[in-house]
Amino acid sequence: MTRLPPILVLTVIGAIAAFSVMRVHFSANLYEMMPEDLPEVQGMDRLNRYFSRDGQLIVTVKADEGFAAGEAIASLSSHLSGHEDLVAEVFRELTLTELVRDGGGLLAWLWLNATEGKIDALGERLAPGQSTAEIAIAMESIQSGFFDQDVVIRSYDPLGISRFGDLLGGGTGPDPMSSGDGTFQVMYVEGNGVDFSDYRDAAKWIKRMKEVVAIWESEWREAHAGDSPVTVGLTGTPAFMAEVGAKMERDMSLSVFSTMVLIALLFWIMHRQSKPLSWIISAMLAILAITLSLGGAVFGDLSVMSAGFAAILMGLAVDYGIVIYREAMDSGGDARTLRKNVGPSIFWAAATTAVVFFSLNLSSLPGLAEMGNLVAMGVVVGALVMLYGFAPVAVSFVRETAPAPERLNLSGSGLTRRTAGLFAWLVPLLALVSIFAKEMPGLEINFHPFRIRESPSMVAWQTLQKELRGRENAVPTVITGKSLPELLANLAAAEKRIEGALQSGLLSDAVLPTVFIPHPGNQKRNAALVGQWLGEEERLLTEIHAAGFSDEGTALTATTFAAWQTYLAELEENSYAAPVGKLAAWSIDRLFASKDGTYAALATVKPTRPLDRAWVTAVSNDNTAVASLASLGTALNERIRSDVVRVFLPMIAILSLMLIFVFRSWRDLVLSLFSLLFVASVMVLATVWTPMSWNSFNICGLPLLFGTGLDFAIHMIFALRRNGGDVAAARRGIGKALLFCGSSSAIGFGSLATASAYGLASLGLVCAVGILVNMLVAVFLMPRWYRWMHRLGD
Amino acid sequence: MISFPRLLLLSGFLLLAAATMTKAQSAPDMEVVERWLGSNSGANSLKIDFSQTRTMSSLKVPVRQQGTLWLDYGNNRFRWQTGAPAQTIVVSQGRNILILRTPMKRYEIRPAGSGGAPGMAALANGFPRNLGDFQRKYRVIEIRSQSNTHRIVARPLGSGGKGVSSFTFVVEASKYRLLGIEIDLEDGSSVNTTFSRVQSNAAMPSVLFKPDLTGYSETKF
Repeated sequence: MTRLPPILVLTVIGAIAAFSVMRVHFSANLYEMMPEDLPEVQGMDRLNRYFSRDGQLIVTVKADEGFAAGEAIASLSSHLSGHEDLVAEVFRELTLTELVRDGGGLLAWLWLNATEGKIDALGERLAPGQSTAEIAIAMESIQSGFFDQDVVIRSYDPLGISRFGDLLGGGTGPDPMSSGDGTFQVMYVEGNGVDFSDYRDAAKWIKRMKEVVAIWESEWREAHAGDSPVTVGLTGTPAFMAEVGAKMERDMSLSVFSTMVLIALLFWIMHRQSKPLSWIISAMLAILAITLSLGGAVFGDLSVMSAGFAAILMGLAVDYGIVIYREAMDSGGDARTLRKNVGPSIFWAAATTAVVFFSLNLSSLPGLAEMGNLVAMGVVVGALVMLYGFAPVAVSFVRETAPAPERLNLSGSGLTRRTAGLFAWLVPLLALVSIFAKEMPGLEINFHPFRIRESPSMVAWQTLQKELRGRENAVPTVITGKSLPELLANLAAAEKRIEGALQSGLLSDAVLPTVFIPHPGNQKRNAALVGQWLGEEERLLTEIHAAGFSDEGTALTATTFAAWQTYLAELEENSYAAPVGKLAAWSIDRLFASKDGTYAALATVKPTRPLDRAWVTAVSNDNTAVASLASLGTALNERIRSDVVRVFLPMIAILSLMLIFVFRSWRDLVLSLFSLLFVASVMVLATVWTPMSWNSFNICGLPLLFGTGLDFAIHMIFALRRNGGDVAAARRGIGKALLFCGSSSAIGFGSLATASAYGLASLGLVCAVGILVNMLVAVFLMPRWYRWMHRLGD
Repeated sequence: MISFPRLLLLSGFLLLAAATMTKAQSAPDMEVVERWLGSNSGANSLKIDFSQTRTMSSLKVPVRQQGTLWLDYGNNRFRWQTGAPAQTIVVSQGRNILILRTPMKRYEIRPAGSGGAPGMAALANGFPRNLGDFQRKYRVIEIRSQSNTHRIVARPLGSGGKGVSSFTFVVEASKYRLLGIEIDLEDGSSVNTTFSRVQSNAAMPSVLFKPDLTGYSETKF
């Protein structure tokens, strides 16, 4: 038989695995991983779907002085606009001149859309006789009034078209472009020539934008040496997408690579051989490639959580290969004999592990369920690949290779029965005492599992929220409807609920976008009056000129009338008129969206106690959802607590039934379940007495720990059965394999501790610790407990 | 003949002097500001008669008016009025300002600083009393000497600077008295105020700051 060089096999399979990873497409949509029935998740999803602009980067500029920030942002805006290959458009706070030029469309639309009776106030000012008086008052205030910003605006708006009185109510909210003192300013940059639905393209675009901004920063510093510095931040959807997607890829690559390297090193240390190692690595890569391909075919886009599954799978799958290799070294025989000896334990270990991971489908977190499915698929694939692919290779290596000197000597019986017995009751007792003495470790509140750490775009976003007056603790609230009338009705209903919440003290403030939502009824009703005004345009402009205003002084009035002309023409053909002009369209688009057959409006509420959920319940319903990160943490914790019962108990029940079938011995069943209780006690001690803590994410690792712990219990118990309870023999054989398996699994989980997502990192840490404990229990304590349970003497 | 070490030392001094001069030229000389501010340092109150020209891009012709500004530093209050008889009166009332339009018999009370203050309103809280106070409110861009005056070109800091391109204090060259203020706005308009008479420690009767509102109705201008 032609022997293929291991390096060739490794290279080919590695290439296939790499190709499989590259073909996998990750979804950067974090909301798909959370319970979709939670109002907070619905809110964030809807906010992202209707109001997030995939291709709109938010650029912030911070300076010590308002005028410095204004100059800087104007300069940066001009610099970015010069890169037409990257930037389609830039929106920033308009100057007065620009407002006068572009504001007519918005003013005209707001009046046309006004609720019944409100438009009469403007009508009075435009009426013959009254208009001349209004213009005269404007001129008088310009001539002798206290010269402030109002007077300046009045000079461009002598008829007071921009004086809405109570028309806007609180509907405007804080300035979205500038802090109160002007030292922090924002602009919105629309990208060009990029597919923003692909995070890789978004990442490339962001990289180029950062380079362009860096050039501007360098030139600015040079031109303003000695001035206080200006800080630029980049945030918004493209920045988040690029960051999340890139970090996921990095996490996956890093965890896979580091896991493989460390496991390879561990194998070398324990066995001083490389050929079987290269085949094991090839087998692991093959398992990864097959599982990824299957996963991609079944699930489509994989979520950020799936970035962690590969590392977990590596750690678990290699266990089977090591068990096979150790058995081949210890017992010899052919591949069939090998499969007969260890096949059942591997089969049952894979089956119980797969059950545990499949049980995550009962979890409230869809992302976790997806990861569980992938791992479950992977361990089954792994068991098959190792038993039928690697086993023959292991046998042939053992036959042809002289055994290398063992570096790890587990001869001897290890702990005494007495010591093992002491541990058996002391540790659970200590755990119980700790719970009463300190307190039962609870779930961290305010924990956001999918938040990325070291996220410059998140830092920039938080700075933006803090700097823009009134945006701290402001929670976006999305109201939807299947038609515009339905949206308006839902908005009215939401307004009542929000009013109730304000009165009961659940909310401290709320801003509703009612005046910015197109209202066909209002527009049709007001169209008649506006049509009359159009007939008065020439008279009004003449009066303004006659009073001493220049063409610039009449510009805003003229553009407003021109916009009304356009709107009335549109109303002839459509149910409502959409705002015209860049400013109008941008202003309305922030608060009203129509997409995929759904209409959406964006309100803002400020809860008095953001972490509580009473206000969420008071405000939300099927059509109203709040995008609240603060209360989401609370909600997830509530869900996870119920998940612990919903997932854990059925899992224990199913596992118990399986174990009865596996062992057909009540003693071995009790022993395996006790080992789980022991591990749980150690984890309680760890979380009570060390900084390690539970949160809504890493608690989902408990089933993982128990499932993998059962693996070790099954392997050890089967080995002890084969050896007639000979502890030393079991430790020499399966003990070493379990030491390697435990360490490699811990490496696999531990590599997640460096993951970008907080949740994944904490999951990795907890599981690494738990797996190590499982390993120590199985190798050093269980053999003694087995002999005690089976009354085999010391 | 000069030795090499001495030549080196001399070159070093010359370079240092050049660098110092360059630095001095690039940073405005605040001595003008200090001397101007010092000219009013002893005053507890000021009464300023002024004439103001408002050149607006939105108007065909500039607007001129006469007025008086009372600044009572001791009690932290001011009164600003234009026209004779007074057409518009503005007085401070703690955190608010009261604006009266006498021909209309209307008044408005609004929070101080709420309307942005590109004009005389910027001085409603009084001139800066010292350099520190000045630098908290203004950033000096340059100081030019021109026709017996020093022109301190500055930018107001904070919300008062919104819409303002420059805020120039025109100071008499010999006695450092403030002669006027020129404000250029971003839309191309300008407000130039010339002080015809400045009285220090003028009488500030309380009635000045409590105008009679009998017959006036509250409104929003």
